[in-house]
Amino acid sequence: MNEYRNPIATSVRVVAVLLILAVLLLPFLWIFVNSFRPTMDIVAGPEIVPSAVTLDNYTGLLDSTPYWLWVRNSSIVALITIVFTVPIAVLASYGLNRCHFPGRNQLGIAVLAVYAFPTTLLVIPMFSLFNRFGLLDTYVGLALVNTLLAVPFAVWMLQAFMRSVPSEIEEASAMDGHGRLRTLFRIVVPQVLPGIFSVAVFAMVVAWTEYLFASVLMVSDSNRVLAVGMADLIGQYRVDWGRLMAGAVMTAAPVVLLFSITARWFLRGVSAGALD
Amino acid sequence: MTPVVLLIIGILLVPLFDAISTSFTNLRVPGGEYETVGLEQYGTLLADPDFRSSLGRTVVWVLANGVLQVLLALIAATALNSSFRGLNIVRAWIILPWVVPVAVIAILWRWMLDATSGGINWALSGLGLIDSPIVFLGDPSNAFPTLISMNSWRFFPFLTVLLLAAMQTIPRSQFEAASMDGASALRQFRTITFAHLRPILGILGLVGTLWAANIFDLIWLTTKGGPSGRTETMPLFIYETAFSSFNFSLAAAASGIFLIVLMLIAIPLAMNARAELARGPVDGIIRAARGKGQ
Amino acid sequence: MSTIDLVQISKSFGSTTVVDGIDLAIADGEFVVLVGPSGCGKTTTLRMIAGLERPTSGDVRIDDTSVVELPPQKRDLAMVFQNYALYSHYTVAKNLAYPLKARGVPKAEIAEKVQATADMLGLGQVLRRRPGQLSGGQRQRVALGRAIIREPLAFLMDEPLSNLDAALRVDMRKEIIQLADRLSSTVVYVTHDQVEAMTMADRVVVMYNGRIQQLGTPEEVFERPTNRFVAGFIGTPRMNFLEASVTSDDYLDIEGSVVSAGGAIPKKPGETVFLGVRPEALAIDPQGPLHLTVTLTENLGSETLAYGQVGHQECLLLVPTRLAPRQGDDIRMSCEPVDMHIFEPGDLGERIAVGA
Repeated sequence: MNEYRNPIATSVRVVAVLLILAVLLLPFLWIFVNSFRPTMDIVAGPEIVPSAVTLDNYTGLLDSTPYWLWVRNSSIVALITIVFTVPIAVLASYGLNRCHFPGRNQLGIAVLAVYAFPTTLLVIPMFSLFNRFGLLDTYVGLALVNTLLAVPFAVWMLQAFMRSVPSEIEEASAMDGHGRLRTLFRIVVPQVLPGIFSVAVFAMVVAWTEYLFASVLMVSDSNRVLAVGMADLIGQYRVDWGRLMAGAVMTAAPVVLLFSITARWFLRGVSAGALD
Repeated sequence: MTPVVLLIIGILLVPLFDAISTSFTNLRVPGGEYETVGLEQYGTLLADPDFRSSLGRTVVWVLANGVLQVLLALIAATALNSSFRGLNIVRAWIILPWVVPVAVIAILWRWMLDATSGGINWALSGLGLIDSPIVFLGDPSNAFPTLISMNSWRFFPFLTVLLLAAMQTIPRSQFEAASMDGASALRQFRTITFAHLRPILGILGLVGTLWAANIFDLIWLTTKGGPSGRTETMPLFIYETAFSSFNFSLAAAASGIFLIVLMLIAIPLAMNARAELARGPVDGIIRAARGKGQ
Repeated sequence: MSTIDLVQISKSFGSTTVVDGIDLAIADGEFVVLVGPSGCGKTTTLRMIAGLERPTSGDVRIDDTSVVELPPQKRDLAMVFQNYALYSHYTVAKNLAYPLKARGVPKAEIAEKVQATADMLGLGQVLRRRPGQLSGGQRQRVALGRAIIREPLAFLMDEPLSNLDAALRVDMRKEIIQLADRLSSTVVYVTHDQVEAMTMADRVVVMYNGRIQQLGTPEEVFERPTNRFVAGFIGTPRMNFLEASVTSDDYLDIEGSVVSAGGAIPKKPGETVFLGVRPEALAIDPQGPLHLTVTLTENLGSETLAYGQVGHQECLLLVPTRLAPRQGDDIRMSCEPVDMHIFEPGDLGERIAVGA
């Protein structure tokens, strides 16, 4: 089918791809460029090439907000989230795959049903629950919630990987005398490494972007995360576009940076997970 | 490993039961005094026109998002489904809207859609398509569709990547055979590509729907449910009832009804997804993937 | 059924040339087998006929009309793929119907033809099943059925039997030939198995390194191989090649064993040639010129393979078991001049004609 491609079809495809890229990515580029323009200019209207360039937006923001504190908090929470999510997802998907119990197949899909629960509903009871256990306003507490949000999809993704590991490998390992857990770690995990990476990246993104629970559960200023800190600014800087744009760029920067490093693995993992 | 799964279910179910039990009371704030009032809160809600319109709006929100996102994802995946240099880079970066925190999205679009200094209006009038700037988020009738579009914009690339991956596992030989059999590109898409994608479309429909239903932050940060409550979906309604009106039990009841409605939507979707999975095509895809040695 | 002509077909992927200037004329109703080791270009050649690959240069003609610019859909050829390429999400019936639906054949006619084809191939019972539920042999037949059902100009088959177990392969070989006969079809068949080539072909095309090494009937390529490669590729067990130097009186000196070539050798004394002789053509002869030291024997039942050395060179001998030597024996062998093939040195060393 490739060898005799219709030239019209090819150009349509090229146009479509460019259009998609433009629609998805241009806005970010635009914001980036505009963040270097003074607010007055921005209010006046967009320009293709900025006439005046300034760093005031950034310096102003860095002066008036605890940006680096927020980044630190987000990083910690994200790290803990990954540390929680990955093992749970690995164990759960492995168990779903290898252990045969009634209702196994249903559970595979039902896992996703977790997302049906209204999160806004859970906020209130979570608040009092965490309060009772001293988890309120802690990194671990928020990380737990993020884990809860990330695990179902992570398990679904990982399931396909687990399925693709031939059982012969595990049987060989058992013949070699390894126990179940050892088999899991030494043999199965390396086989599904791309999937694990993508789960880690997924968990990372969830942790960095989560807003609702982060705003409710992290009460004190010193524990606030980036996603919430910057969001509050929106109310504060109503139309100070310059500051807002700089804020947007600064909020996006850490995640985008991390993502650009790990994107390849994430892609591979998601791709394989989609085989289901 | 089973205990772990049970732990998760536990963390989920405990607050759920707590909330459900709260809904049968007239609790106003956590820690406050209350008495059990049975289904009174539910009754209040069902009588409340704001609640009903919010619920209806949410259903529209869910369906519109679901349909739009899946459609866009299908188109995008089809367009991207050929190996060209840089495909992997493109595939990675189209997810960008999903990767960044909501605050960024909110700022980005509020600016882009702004009536006076926004990029969209600037571009549209520059192209001569409009005479006067369109008010997007500020206009009561425009706000809701605008938000639906924004949210779809944010999530469809993620679905695209999943769909694309599934597409690329369809054995090439089936397309070659179809070519030999005289099938046009369109027919091949219909009979082979789409047929193989149905299982994953089912899953995407389910997950996409559920995720869309729970969207709170995007709407809250851009319109806070306005103008005139025209973008208030259930998550916002619940949030405001609990944290602004200080009526936790009412909010809990609203959540209960919302949950039921979601289940009504989710269960048929899930059953459909399971049925699709039980059929043949996936075996072929998995086997082919194994053959490719991943 | 149609004629197919390949005119100076070449295919390169980047700097690698996979098919190098192939000329081939296939007659109407002929069963032609492209055979050769992996990577010789046979599958690529087949795919160029099909339209799944585009030649880098050269022409593909069907019934004297050039089709090289046409996509596969327009060529009216049918292909049976190595892994069958069945539509895994369709029933057998729908798989068979697909080519007809694609051409807009009316429903009633489709149903008729599907039934007829299924009956012809013994698939009547499995019409409602999916490929995933069928055995290898059944899938094979569905692939065949899908090809037959639209009565194409010719059939192209890409190693259709290589995924079947040995016994099934033998049965399917017969079925395919019978089918081809019955439909008087033009068939282009690709395989790496020379047994398939020899038993099925009207003509054999032996390929190596993207080129045709020899084109001829099975008998021709077996009895009169044009070069060392063809001689070594065709025939089981493989032909022996013994390095020899030519003597002044047209004898071949193989490390002390001196054999008559049965005629004049157009080579200077002292030059190196290779003597090719098939294991079954060697006979144990106490007066024979060739000394063999037997290192291993394999009893195959009615025959025995004896592995040994002539001088320092490996040599195989195939004899009836009752005459078989034992491991460690020193024996002498002879062979008829007509069974001796003399080749130039090198993998593609050409056969040297021996004068009368």
